[in-house]
Amino acid sequence: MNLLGKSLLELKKLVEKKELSLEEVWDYFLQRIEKYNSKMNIFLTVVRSRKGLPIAIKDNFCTRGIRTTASSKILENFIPPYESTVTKRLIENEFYPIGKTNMDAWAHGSSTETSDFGPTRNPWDLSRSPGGSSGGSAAAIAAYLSPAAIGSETAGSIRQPAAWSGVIGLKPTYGRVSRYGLIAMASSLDCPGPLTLTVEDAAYLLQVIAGKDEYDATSLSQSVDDYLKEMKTKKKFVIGIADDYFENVDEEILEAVQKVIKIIRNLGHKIKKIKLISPKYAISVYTIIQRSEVSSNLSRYDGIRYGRNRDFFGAEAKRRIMLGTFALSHGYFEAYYKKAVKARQLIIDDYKKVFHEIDLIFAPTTPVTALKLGEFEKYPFFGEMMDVLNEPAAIAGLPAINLPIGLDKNFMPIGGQIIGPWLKEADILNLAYQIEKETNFFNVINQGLKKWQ
Amino acid sequence: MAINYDLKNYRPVIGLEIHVELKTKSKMFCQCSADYFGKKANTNVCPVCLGLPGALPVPNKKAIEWTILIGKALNCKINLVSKFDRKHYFYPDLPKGYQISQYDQPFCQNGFLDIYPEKSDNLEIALKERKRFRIRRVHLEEDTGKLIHQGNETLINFNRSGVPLVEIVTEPDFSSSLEVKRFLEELQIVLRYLNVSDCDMEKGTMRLEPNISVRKILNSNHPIPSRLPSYKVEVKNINSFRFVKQAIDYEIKRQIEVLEKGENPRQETRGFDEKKGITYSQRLKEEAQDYRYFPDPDIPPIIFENEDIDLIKVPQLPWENLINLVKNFSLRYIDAFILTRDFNLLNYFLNLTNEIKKRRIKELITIEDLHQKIANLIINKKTIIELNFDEVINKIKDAFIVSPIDEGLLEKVVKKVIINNSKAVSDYHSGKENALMFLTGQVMKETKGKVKAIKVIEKLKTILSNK
Amino acid sequence: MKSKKNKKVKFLLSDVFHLARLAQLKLTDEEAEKYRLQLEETLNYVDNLNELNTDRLEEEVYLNLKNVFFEDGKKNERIFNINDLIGKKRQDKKYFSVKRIL
Ligand SMILES: [Mg+2]
Ligand SMILES: [Zn+2]
Repeated sequence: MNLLGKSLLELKKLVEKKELSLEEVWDYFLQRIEKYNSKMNIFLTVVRSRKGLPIAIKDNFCTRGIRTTASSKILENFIPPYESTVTKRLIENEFYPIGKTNMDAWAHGSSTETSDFGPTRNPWDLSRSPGGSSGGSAAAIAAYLSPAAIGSETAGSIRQPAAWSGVIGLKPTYGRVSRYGLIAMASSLDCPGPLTLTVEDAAYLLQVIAGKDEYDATSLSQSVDDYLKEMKTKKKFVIGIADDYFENVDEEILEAVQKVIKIIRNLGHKIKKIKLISPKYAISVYTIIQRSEVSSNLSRYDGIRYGRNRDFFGAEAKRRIMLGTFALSHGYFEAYYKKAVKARQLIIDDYKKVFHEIDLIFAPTTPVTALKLGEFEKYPFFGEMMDVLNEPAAIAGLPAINLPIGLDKNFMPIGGQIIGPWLKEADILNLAYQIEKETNFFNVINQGLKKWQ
Repeated sequence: MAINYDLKNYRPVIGLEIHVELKTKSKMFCQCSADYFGKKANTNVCPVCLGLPGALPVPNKKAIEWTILIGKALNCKINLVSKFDRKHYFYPDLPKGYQISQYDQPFCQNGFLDIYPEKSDNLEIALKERKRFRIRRVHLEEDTGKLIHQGNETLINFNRSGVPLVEIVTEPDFSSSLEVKRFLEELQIVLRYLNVSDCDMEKGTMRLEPNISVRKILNSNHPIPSRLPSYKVEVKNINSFRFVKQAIDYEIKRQIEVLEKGENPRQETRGFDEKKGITYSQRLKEEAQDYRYFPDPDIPPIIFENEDIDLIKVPQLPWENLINLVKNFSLRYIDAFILTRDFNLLNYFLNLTNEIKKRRIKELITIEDLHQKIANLIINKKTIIELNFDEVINKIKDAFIVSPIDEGLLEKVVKKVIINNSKAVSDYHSGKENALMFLTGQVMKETKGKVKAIKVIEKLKTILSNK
Repeated sequence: MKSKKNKKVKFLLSDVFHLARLAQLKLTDEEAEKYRLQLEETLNYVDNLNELNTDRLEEEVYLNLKNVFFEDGKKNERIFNINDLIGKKRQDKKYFSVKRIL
């Protein structure tokens, strides 16, 4: 049986019907990893669990007994003595890690180039970045070295690599999925989520990992929807389109987005223009809050109890620690951190207002498609600029999903995103599923897989 | 150490920072045991209190309730909206590089503690003489690990890391070491009444950091300038009330000497050397610490309703009991004061008197100053509280119920002994205490021990003095 | 470090070293100069927040997220052996250690 491109749920069904053994599944993916991993540097650690179905895990989730580095030299030899809640729930549902995926060190970046263990390459074009920080997880799916993956997003780190690698990436509402055991980047923003080949897989994996966790005080106690069921009851939505989200976006991406908007309209949904606060303020809010929290969260790495000492921080981590330390320091706290927190509230209020008029927002995920490796170094806080379309929703804690919506002239994937109100993952998945059924994502995923037979 | 300095021109200004470990079952943000004492090093730890990557804190409800209880007992305003903040600094005993503490919205603020005099002729005078010391804040934080300095190494044990720690900060209202000592004793008693901490200085479950400065005044009649001195000296590592007194006295003397030379004492942190009874410079505070406080994003805010706060009940506190004992039990102030020093003594007294009332023991109830007598009994022999009520009630009967026959018999015997021992009697009159003991022994012998020594002595004294 | 409205933020090298000290980072002069420029650049960008009026904003509790506690005495399911952390090499040691600090 040719397994190439089979979704996680398809594999699950085949195994349940005994048309396929877990042994075969594991052999298949481990062989592919053997063959292709070195070309793209996707997995930092390969795990031969050979139990349950395999899933790729970003290397910032603590996995008991399995090396977890956050792609940093400091944690190069760190073996966690405990399991993150996300991986614990996966294991309880018979999904076992097949490997730990490369990422930007400490999740600082949007290209996987700040990894202390070398960049991951984009399966569509090895000279390009897969995006980041969950670049390894996105590439693992795009090259089908794993049927599905778990990533984490602070502001764009799931959606942007999903867009650049041509896969589906779901960032849930902040607090919907437990952060316990996820190596903290910016605690008020961090959010685990799935990267998959189908909308159904994303819904299914969210179902598995979502819900209140007694070990994460910021996890939400609201009940978890039955995503798979709710996804398939065809709903009609009012879709908001904000002009600010189309500024400075490449022409080819705009065209692809417009094409999807037309399809959405044809599916019977209403399109409505909305006005949102310019994303340029979200960049500032995000930069200040994220770096403040980073400077605090990275304080525990002193090399005494585990890992190496602070001299081993890479340039990007140091840069962020410096700014964060400044924003929290005496005399500047009010002007920077406090101001950013207030502006954040302003952005939240803005979304609240807008979601009275509309159900969901549709927008491009990124202003450009995958860049060549090395491009990032040339610009100041380039990551923040790359994630300009992801930051507003992230700082408001909103759920969103990236969908492949076409290819550009370089044959690189284009991503479009649906942003929804708090805890409305079911609606986001519902519309995504309708688009998937209607377009099969313009065959993007299948075309990508052709390279990696 | 003799204190010899002239306070005429100086007025000490002393404030206190007191840390108290709560005796909850669990630590502050994880389920490890808060009782770390005597455990093998680094066996009472988990990902949270060891600060592992990805670990998150969840607050212990009881620790929060107890902090509010302390605040209420100290007459504080309770903030309905509060939060935890991160306080950043690097030290090997601090696993996360920050301590979870409270900054601008502590659970409790602006309270006070009244200190009553130990001795007073009556309650009215005591109420007039009581001193009020203001409490600035009471907040909750987590304890650090413990360091052991050994050879070229400093070893770290994280068993204590994350134990709930309440910080009580006073206003700089103290002007002598004695005031400080009395305040601390009272605070310790209050916290033990609340049953939230052992407050054991030696074990380190109660820790003190006085900050001391001295300001010049023109003379003792001149009004004190309202501005505080420009510097402050903090003294650390003090583990008894006696030492805190010594340390403060030493500091006052040292600082006055500096001021006398026309210099300003340095703002610094000093340690205390118990053997020498002196303080020594630890680190200068030139570059003020910048703790970079900000709200801990891992912990949602804590928002109470007034009703929640009302549910946290403060038991009767020492001074309330003191007033009760004087007013309703007619105890002498000084005895009521002593009884209320120790929650166990007080309870025993209250329960015992209640029991006697309940059992309607006529011959006891009719004794006029029974309560004072019982109080004396307990105060003189504290171990009495280990006896059960039957035993102790018999003891009381023995001691205080005197039948008239016995009385007559006793007088007869006493007189006989006085006549038969004229040498001892004259010794007694010339001031030899032993003589009284000898005579008592003789009477005891004659009465075959049926009469209590106290009674005998009493009788002897009366008859001898009538002579 | 000066930031007046509409004025460029300026950093001194000594400011950078002060921050590095607070964060316990060792910087070379070269790194410090690089961070100095980047700090200025970033802070000048985020200055755009001053265009937003945030005076009358009330911070809200996010999705009713408040008062999350655990009950004292709850069973501890997370205790672990520190030898798992410090590795077999040092299994004889019960303590973590640093070079003597006092
Ligand atoms: Mg403290
Ligand atoms: Zn613990």
